[in-house]
Amino acid sequence: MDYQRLLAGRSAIVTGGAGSIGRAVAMLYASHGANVAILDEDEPGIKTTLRDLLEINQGCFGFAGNLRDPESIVRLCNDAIDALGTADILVNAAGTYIEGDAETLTEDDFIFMIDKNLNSTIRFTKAIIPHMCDNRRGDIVNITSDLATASLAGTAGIAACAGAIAAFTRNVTMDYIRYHVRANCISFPLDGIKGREPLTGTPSTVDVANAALWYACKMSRFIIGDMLPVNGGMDYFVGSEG
Amino acid sequence: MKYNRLLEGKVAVITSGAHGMGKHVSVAYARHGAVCIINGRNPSGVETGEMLNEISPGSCFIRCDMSKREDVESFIRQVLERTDRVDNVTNVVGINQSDLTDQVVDERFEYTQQVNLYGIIRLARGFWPALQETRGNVVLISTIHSGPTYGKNSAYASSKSATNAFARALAVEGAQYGIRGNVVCPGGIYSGFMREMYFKFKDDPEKLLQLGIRGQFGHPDYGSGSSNDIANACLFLASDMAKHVTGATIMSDGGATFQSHEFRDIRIPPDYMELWGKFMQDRYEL
Repeated sequence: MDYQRLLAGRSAIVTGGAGSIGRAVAMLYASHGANVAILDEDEPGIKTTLRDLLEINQGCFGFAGNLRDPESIVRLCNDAIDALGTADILVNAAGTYIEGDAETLTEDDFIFMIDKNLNSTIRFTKAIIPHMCDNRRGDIVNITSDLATASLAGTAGIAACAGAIAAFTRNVTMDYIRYHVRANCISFPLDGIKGREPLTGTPSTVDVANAALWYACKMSRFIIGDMLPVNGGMDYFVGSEG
Repeated sequence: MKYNRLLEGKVAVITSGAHGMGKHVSVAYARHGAVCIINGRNPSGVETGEMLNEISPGSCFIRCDMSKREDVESFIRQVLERTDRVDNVTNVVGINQSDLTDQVVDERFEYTQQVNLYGIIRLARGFWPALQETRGNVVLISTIHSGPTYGKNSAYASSKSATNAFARALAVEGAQYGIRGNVVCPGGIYSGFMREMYFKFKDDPEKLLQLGIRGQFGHPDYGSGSSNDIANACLFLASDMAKHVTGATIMSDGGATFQSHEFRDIRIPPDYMELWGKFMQDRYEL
């Protein structure tokens, strides 16, 4: 196994590819030999990221569209697959959050977050899975928040999405592993939320990208439906040592 | 980051690194540039030590019985005499003595705890100052039986569950020194004996079932795992790829645990445990 080119010849779709995590993942994937299509809402962001991607690998593409609209997602996926030829890696890195609890978050806030985080993950998966099944190979990496397993005041909306994405990931694996389609998720601490400090210092987007690389390549072949916390051990510290 | 030399310039200590899964782990580490100091009970581990030395000069085998406190302490001393740094401790050693809970004798229960749990506690204690200096990490091989399990497994399951908890506590304590601790929980992996049996009887499904080999150990629709899968998980955790992963428990089981209902329903052939116990005894005689 060539660890320097872990994704040689693979085709990857990265949602939210113009955002900080998505960009780091796309860049690392491209440097490991994957053809990458980044899908995002932010058109200028796509242009900048794509320019950097093309310097690494000529087989990269970028498409802009609304990630909260089911039809637009299908269109984006079709464009990406036409460009790449196929897709055997999907990274759901698109996401957003609004701080607030069940009372202060409005109906629209909740719907906005659920659409952007959870529904986009489900819709992209739905659109790409048939291609993966045809290929008898697929690696899905969902980036979620570590609020899936630990709670923090004022994060009601994003925590609900994070837990749902983790459960959805396990179930996708359950349903499609017979086609050798794996799904795993990575939990990452949100930026800018006060109250919790990672024990090892704050992980960067490169650390998430490394975990996403590991989940997409053969190194993690036997690991399916799992969640890897890239959060500096935050979940395991329950209080002061006294 | 040089992804094909993930452990360049590092020194790794691998328990039971001479045979089976441990050998795959130490070879992977050595190929990625780490000097590997392996231990084991069987003196034939010297051959693996020599092989590792060829891949990564400075690697060696040191004889050590992980069930004995004096042996472990002398091993730690010998390692620290040989090298001025330790970046990683990977605990592969493990034993499963299958006893029914109402029949287990103290000596056998204690022996399991000594090998599976006390061994790594002593190693972590002994190498702690060295790991502090290098901001190193500890990788523990546990098992899916630290979660769901089946019968005749009380000593093994409890020791491994404690291993997982130990890793989390180590992660919390070690964080201030940059020491990370993580766990890999393999599902059924074909290594050594099981692999041999599989290839010997692969055309005889009944015999395979008798041996407890269902053809695959992960999800029924997926394949089975190999020692290399575990080696790659350890490599990831030991390297800077997982710089901010600590206290994590990675299930490398091909999905055996998340389909927990089916897993609980697995019928164990009557002589499976006897055969398995014999195999384990061959390697770790009391």
